[in-house]
Amino acid sequence: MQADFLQIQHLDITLSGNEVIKDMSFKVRRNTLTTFLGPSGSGKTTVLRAIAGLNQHVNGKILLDNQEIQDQAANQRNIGMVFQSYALFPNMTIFDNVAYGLRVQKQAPTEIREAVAAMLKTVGLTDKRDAYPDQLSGGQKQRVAIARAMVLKPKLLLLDEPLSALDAKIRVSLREQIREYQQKLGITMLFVTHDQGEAMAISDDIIVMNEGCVQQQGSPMAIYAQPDNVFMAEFIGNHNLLTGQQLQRLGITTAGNHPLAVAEHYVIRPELISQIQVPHSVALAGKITSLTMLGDRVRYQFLTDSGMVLKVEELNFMRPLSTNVPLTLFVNPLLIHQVGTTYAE
Amino acid sequence: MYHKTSTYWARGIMTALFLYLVTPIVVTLIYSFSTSWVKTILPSGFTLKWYSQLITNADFTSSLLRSLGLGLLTTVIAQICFLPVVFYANVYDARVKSHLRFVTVLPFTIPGIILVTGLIQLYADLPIPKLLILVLAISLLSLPLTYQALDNAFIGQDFRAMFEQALVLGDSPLKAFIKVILPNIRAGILIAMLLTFTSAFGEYVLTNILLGGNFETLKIYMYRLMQSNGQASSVLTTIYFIFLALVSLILIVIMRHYAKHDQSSQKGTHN
Repeated sequence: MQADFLQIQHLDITLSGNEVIKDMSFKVRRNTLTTFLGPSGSGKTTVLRAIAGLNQHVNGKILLDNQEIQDQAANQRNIGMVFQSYALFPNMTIFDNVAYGLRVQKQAPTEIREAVAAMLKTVGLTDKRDAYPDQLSGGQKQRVAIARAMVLKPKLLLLDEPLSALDAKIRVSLREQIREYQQKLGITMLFVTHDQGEAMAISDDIIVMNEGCVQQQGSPMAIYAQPDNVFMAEFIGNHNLLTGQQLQRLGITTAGNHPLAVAEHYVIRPELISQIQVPHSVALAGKITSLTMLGDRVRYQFLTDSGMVLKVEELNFMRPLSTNVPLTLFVNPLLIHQVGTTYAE
Repeated sequence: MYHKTSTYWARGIMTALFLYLVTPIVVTLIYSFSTSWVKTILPSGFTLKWYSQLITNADFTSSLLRSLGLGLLTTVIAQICFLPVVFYANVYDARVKSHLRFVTVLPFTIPGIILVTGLIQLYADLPIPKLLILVLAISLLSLPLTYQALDNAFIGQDFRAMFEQALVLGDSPLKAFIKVILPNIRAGILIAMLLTFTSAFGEYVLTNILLGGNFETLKIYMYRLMQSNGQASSVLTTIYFIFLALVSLILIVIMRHYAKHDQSSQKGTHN
C-alpha cells in the first residue's frame, strides 16, 4: 500500500481575503478510505475543492501519485468528486448521467454501454437506467452520483458530505455500500463528514481538522484512544477531561505507565469507568447523581467522595441502579491518556 | 340580507369593469370586419377587404419586418450580454447580485425622453449608426425583464455544483455550460426572450424620437394609420392584439409546464 499516494504539502488557501487553510500538510495511502472530520467551518470542503482543482487561490503543493497537480485545471486531474447536493444533471437520464464523463473522453459507444451497465449493476440501479433524476429517491440519486464518478476509474474519489441530505437509516446503509464499493473496486477515497460515527464506521484513516489546521491523523482506534490534544479529546466521543491534580484527588498516581504531571490534562472515556473491578484498577467511592437509561447502555453522573463529578457509560447489565446510594466504581490507570496542557496550534 | 346585497354590488362592479375593458377590444374587432359603421348601432355589412388591403400594403410589410428585426436583434443582444452576467452572479459570486438588482431598476427610473436626449448628446459626433444606438438602448431598457426571468431560472437547482461536476468529469467550461447549464434554464431563457421580444417589438417612444420617419416600425405605422384610415387601423390593432395574446399564451403554457415539472421533482426527492 503506497503510503504517500496523495501528498498535501504546506497548503495555504485564502478565500475573500481570509486565510482559511494554514500551512496544512498530510498524506493519504493508496486504496484506502480516508475521512476528513471536523466541525462546520473547519475547512474540510475547502481542502477537498482544492484537491479537485475548484479553488482558485491555492499555495503549496498537491502531489497525486508523485505528480504535482496543483497547477492543473479541474478537468485535467483525473479525480472524481461526489457533491453534497448530488449535482445530477436533471436534463439527462441516469444512463446519460453516468455516461457523461466517458463521452467527454470520447470512448466508443459499445464500451460506454458496457461500462455504464456494469456500474449501474454495481450500485443496484440497472432498472433505473432510463429514468430521470427527479424520479429517484435521495439514496438512489446519491448512488448515481457515486456511479458517475467511479465509472471513470479516477485515481482519487472525493466525497463531500455525500450522506448529509439523507435520513438516518439510509445513511447507515449507504455508508456501508460506499465502503463496499471502495474495497471491491480498490479506489482511493477521501470522504468529508462532520459525523463522528460515520467517520469511525467506514474509515481506514481519519484526519481531524479544526480552524484550517490538521489536529490529528490516524486510524479510528488511535484517534479515539490516543487523542493528541485537548480539542481531540473533547471533539471525539464523550470524555472526562481532568488535570493531574484532579486525578491525584481521586487517588490515581499514574496515567498509562507514567507518573502524573500536575499541570497536564488527561482524558478518561466514560465507558472505561466501570462497576467491574479489573487488575491494577483504582477504586472510586461515591454515588450516582443522575441517571439516563439508553436501552443497551446506561449513562450517569457519578459524584465521588472527593467531590469530583465523572461521566460514566456502561453496558446495561440489567442490575437496578439508584441515585444517591453509595457505590464503588473502578478505573484502570493504564487507560488514562495524557492530552497536553492546551489546544493544539 | 346584507351579505346578499354586498355580493350583488361586487358582481355589478366586476361586470362593469369587465365590460369597460373588453368592449373596446370587441368593438375594434367588429369594426375591422365591417364594410361601414357610421351613425348606426350595428355595422352595415362585414368584409375581409381591410385585412387583404393591409396585408398587401408594402408599408405594412416593411414596418412589420422592421419591428420583427428590432425585436429579434434586441432579444439576441440582451441574451448575449445578460445571460453570462446572471450565470456568473448565480454560480460564482452571489455578491454581484445585489449590485445587479440595483442596476436593473435604473431603466424604470430614467424616462425615455431623457435617455434619448442623453444618447443623442453622447453619440451624436461619433460615427455610430443611430439604429445601433436604438437597439442597444432598447436592450438596456429590457434589462429588468430579462434579468428577472433569467435570475428566476437559477432558483431551485445547485447550478454551481452541476457546473463544477461537469468540469471534474473532464469537460471544458464552455461545453459544460452548453450541455449542463443551458438545457436546465431553457424555460427562463425562453420567457426572457419572449418578454424582451414583445417589449422591443412594441417599442414606440425611443424609436420615434431617435429615428422617427426614417425607421417606421409597426407601432409608428399604427399611429400613422389611425390618423387616416379607421378600419385599417382597427385591423392592425386586432392583429397586434392577437399577436400579444399568443405570446402571453405561450408564456402561460411554459410556466405551467415547468411548475408541474418542479412539483414532480419535489415529490421525487423524498427518500
